Amino acid sequence: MTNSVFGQLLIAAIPGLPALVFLLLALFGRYVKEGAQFVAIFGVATSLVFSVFALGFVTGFPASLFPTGGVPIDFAVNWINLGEGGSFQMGVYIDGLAAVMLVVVCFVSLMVQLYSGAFMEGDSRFAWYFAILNLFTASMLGLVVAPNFIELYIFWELVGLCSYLLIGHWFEKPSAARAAQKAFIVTRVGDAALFIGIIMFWSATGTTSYEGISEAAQAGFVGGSLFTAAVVLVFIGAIGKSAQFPLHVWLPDAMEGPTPVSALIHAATMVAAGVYLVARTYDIFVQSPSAMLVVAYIGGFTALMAATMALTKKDIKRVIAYSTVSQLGYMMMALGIGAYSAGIFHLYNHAFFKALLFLGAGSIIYAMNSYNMFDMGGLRRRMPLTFWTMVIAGVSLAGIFPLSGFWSKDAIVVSAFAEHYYVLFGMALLTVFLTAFYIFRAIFVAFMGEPRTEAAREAVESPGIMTGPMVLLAILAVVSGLVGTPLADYFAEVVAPSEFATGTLAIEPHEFNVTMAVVSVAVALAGIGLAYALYVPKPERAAALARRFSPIYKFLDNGWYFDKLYDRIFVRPAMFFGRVVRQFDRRALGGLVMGVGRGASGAGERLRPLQGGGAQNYALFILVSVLVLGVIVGAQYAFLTIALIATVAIAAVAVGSRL
Amino acid sequence: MITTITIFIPLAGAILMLLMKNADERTTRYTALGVAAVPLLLSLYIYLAHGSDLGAASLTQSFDWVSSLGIGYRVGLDGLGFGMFFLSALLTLIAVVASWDVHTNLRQYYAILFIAELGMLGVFAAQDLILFYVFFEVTLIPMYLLVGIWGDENRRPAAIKFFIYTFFGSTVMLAGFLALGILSGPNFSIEALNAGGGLSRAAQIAIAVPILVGLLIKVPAVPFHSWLLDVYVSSPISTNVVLSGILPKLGTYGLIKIAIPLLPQGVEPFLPYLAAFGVLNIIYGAFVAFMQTDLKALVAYSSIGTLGFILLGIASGNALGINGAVMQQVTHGLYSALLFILVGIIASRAGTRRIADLGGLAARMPWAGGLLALGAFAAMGVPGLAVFVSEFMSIMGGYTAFPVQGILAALGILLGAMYLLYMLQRVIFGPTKQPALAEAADAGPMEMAAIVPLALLLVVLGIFPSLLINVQRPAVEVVLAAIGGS
Repeated sequence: MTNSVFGQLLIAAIPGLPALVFLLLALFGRYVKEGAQFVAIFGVATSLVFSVFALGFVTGFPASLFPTGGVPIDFAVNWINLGEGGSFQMGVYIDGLAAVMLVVVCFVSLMVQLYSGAFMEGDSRFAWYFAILNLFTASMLGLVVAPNFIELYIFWELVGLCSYLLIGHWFEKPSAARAAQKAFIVTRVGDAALFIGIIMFWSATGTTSYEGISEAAQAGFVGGSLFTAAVVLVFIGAIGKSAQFPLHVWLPDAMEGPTPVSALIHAATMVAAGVYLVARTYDIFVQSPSAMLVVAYIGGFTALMAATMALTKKDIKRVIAYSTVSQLGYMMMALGIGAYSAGIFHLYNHAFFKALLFLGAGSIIYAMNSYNMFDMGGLRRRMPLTFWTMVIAGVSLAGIFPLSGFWSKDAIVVSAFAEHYYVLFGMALLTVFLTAFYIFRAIFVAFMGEPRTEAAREAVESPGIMTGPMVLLAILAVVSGLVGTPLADYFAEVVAPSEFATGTLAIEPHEFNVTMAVVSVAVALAGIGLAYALYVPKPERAAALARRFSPIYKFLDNGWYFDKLYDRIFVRPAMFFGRVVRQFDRRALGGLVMGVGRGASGAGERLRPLQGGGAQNYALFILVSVLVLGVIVGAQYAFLTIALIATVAIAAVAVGSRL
Repeated sequence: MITTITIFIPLAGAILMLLMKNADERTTRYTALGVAAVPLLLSLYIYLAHGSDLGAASLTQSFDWVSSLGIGYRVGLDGLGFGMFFLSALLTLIAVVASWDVHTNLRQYYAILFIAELGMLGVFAAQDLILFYVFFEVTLIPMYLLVGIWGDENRRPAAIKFFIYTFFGSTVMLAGFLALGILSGPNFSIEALNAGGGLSRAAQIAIAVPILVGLLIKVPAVPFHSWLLDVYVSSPISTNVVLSGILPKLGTYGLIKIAIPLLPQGVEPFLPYLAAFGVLNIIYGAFVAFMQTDLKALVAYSSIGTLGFILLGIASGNALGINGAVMQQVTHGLYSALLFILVGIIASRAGTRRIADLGGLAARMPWAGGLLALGAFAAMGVPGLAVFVSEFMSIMGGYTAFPVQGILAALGILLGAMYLLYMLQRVIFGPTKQPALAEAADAGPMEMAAIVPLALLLVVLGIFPSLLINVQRPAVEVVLAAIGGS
């Protein structure tokens, strides 16, 4: 199939169709207006069908349909060819990992676009919104199929650009414009590191393909500290994209964007790209044990840190945003400790239940136009469908048996224990507790008790085009994990690390551990129980607690003061340096030349009566200079030089004197 | 022959302009458009018919001028110069379209612009050192006149400063050329002088110094840039198009076409410094741009910054870097011309260029605001747009030769994002601050005609860079052979 032109076109259409939709809507969106959504949905639905087809092919299932399947799809064309000077290709590589990602991206994108039709109704830039949503989908799909770093980097930047445009969709609001800018710049810190890492790999190995770099490293062409540095730089890129410590600060602010965007980009797909990058280049990462440790500990620390930040937030979207940061930390940690399939399994499950949480939050926002959960209350009766789908998503996120989140989270926790990363294990277990607490705090505050505002009293359930996708996602939040249970772990078969990676890490598969499962579920239930105790029977208890531990509360609520810290150590010094350089530019360099300019101008003024016009002065200037030069170089050539320049000068004078 | 014809059609156009004494403004503008279209169509024909065959200079024409000194009229096109040759024709046409802010002495304006075009086309086709210098100088005087006569209220000191600085540079360069030509024969044919022409290393170094200084002033490399700001800010928009799109490339092209292959041993010791100059441009330009309050000044410094990638790529001395540099010459021209025209459009609506007084353009003028964003994204090296391709090639090539400079240049991409996004946030986002902007019309058909081709080329070359790279690649290999053979 990968050899036939038809098959290749079919695969290329997966990112190609949304790209085409983008082009159509960007150019003609103003004419189709609300019709934009139908064009968009048709495009992404077709991509979803093709993605499922690709998944079937690479897994060879069902065998009757794909007799030649079971192998990765792999083809490429030359993009830039400099012969011996190097060449860069645009290609497609789809194995089980990429195929699963394709399906996830297309599916969540389809759900979000259906939902957006109602959510964004009446928006002044409705068609543009759908255009960018599709450019994003196309870029994300391109990122997934990329077989080399340059192609990855191209789509990596494009998803960042789309994220910027969508966060800033309501750019009349200064806070949205600021959040968009912050997101772009903070992730670009990571991108710059990624780029340097790519260059280092290229200059050491002469290739940018993942496979080529991995093989060159195995053969010893690149090694030691240079190799580790390059791997860590690539990982910094992943840190930026996946909002890991210390570059996590952009994601909470990104909630200024429309909520469906948060569901697609800042929960299910783009922020998972960092995790995907580490998984995609796993054969490179495993060759540097120290880089793997960095991955594991950054992930574990981020999971815990972000969970604490989510504890006190009043903005329901920010709670979910910190939750995303925290869950991405889990996935990173899993990859770092060698639990490859578990990490990607969590990415896959998380995409559904986290997108659902955002769509649920969006449903509330649509109903009552507030992000503050303490404006809500009692919505359980007013919005039952939203309530129940959010509870399902919350239970799944908390990791309660047998919902999808349980299976993947449990696999990660067990791996941390079995691989003797006891510190990480402790952090992960504590995070389980905090996660269950903060998500049920949000659900209890929003849906239980009595309505706190007029808007909450009058809220009505969202229309079917919004709740429909939520119900579909809720079903997945329950059952998506069933493909990876210990009884039949299909997922780990489809998304498996290479033999090389398994061999290098020397990891044995871990048995399902009933004790561990019971412990982690008990811890999660304890978190839910505490949230109930604090926020349902006597809500004033929580407020009293917050007052009592006011410094800690403020520390958490301000996100550990990271924004203030970065302002002090990066933003302000950079501004100061900019001012100094500008003064230098104006005073020192500019002043010097201004003097020359004034002097010459004065000379020009004096010559003016003689020559009668500006242009002539310079013609004279040329002649004199050339004369001087001619004398220096050799008198015998002077006549020639003069003749040449004089021709030019006379022409100039002729034109100048006419004006 | 076609090369010579293309070069000298603008001269005919200039004479035609001066003869059309009684033509009204409309006729003048359309005639100028017609004239400017001819070199563009001819170079498009050259691209289609000979684009794959521009390794060594093709379509040549030569006859002796001063045979005793080996000076000749030698022109021809190779892959190094073709991109800029094409861009010169394109940007002149766009400058004519974008000359809506010029109303006085229109015929003379176009005539001088065409003389400048003659010089630009000539430089990128010259295959003789003296001819190169003559064309180089032919661009200078028209530019001086365009700014000095049609610029804003500060035009006079700006034009004088520009003239003195760059004239000093070209004179120093000429000294180097004369020494090179005379010591080698005398012979001034670039082809014959390729690969050092048997000069000793010491002689090459001595000759390289004035040539490098002259060319770097032209670029301009920081700290020789202080002429640039005033002249860019003072000049009319249509002059900006050529001034920023083409003129700096006279310097960088001179480095690639003459300094590197003709004096390989002489330039070699200076390459790390050339790379460092590139990095200095990138970082210094970004920081100063960050602090600008005038939108046009910001674009001017942004232009200085992205020129740094060309210097870095040239200094790398490898296929990737030099190809990147040759391509960046074109991509820089596309994006900076786009931004300067948009600044003009925006200033004409808002009545100000002060960044702090603008805002909300994306809502009021979606096309102008959106394309400003596109230009800014191009400038910060966002993939999908052509500047990304040339920048990543320059940086990768630069890193291979000089790792420290390469890493610093990569960080420059981050700085570029900072000041350009900060600019976008204040100019196109947020609420509208200027009352004049509340009722402002978006870019009209004429204005769109000037900016859309540039935006389109940025996208097309961003997705299919081979359209350009395949033309320049064989010629870059010739340069590499000259370096390797030294």
